[in-house]
Amino acid sequence: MTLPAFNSEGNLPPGVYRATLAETLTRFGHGSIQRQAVADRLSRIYELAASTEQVARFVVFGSFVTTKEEPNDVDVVLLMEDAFDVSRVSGEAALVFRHMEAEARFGASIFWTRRSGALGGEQAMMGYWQVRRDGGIRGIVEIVPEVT
Amino acid sequence: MIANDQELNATLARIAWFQQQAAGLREAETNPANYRAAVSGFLAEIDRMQLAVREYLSVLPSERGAA
Repeated sequence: MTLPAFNSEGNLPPGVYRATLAETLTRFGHGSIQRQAVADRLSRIYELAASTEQVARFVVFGSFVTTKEEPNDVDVVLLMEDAFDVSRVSGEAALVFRHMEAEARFGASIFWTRRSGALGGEQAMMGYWQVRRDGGIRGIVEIVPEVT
Repeated sequence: MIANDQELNATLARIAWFQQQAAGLREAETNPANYRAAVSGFLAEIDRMQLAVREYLSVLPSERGAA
C-alpha cells in the first residue's frame, strides 16, 4: 500500500497503513538531524524485535509518522505471537520488551502484548493507537516484512 | 501537558483504556515474566497521564488563563 499524503494537520489520514521498513524510512526518515536519529532508533528496534522471530505485528504511531520536524522519540506497539516468552530473549533484544529500559536505551516508547492479550481483539487493539493524546484520530504505520 | 478541558477528557478516556488493557492482560497472560514486562509499559503510561491530570486540575481555570 502506498503511504498517503499528509492532511492539513500534518498527520496521515485515519487508517493503519502497511509499509516495509525501507518504505517507512524513505517517507519519514529524512529531514532534521533529530528526525534522522529517531529513524535510526526505529530501524534498530525493528531489527531487534524481528530477531525474536515472534513478531506478529509491528506498528509505529505518534509524531514520527507526522510532519513534525523534530519528533522526540518513536512510539511503537508490538503484537507478539502467542508462543512468545520474553524470558527467552537475551541481550539487547530483551531491552525492547522492557518499557523503561527501552525508553532509556532507544528513546522509544514501546508497548507490547501477545496476540491473545489484545484488548477487544487484534484489529481493535491496533486501531486504538490512532487516537492522539488530545482525542483526535491520525493514521499509523504497520511495518511489514519485505516480500522476497 | 494538558491544555484544556477537551484534552483533559481525552486523557481520562485514554487512562481508562490503558487500565482496561492492563486488566485484560492480567486475565489473559499466564506467563509471569511476559505479564510483568508487557504490563509495565501500560502502567508507566498511566502514571504519566495521571501526573498530567493532577497538574491540570491543580490550577484554577482563572489562574490558567492569567498565566
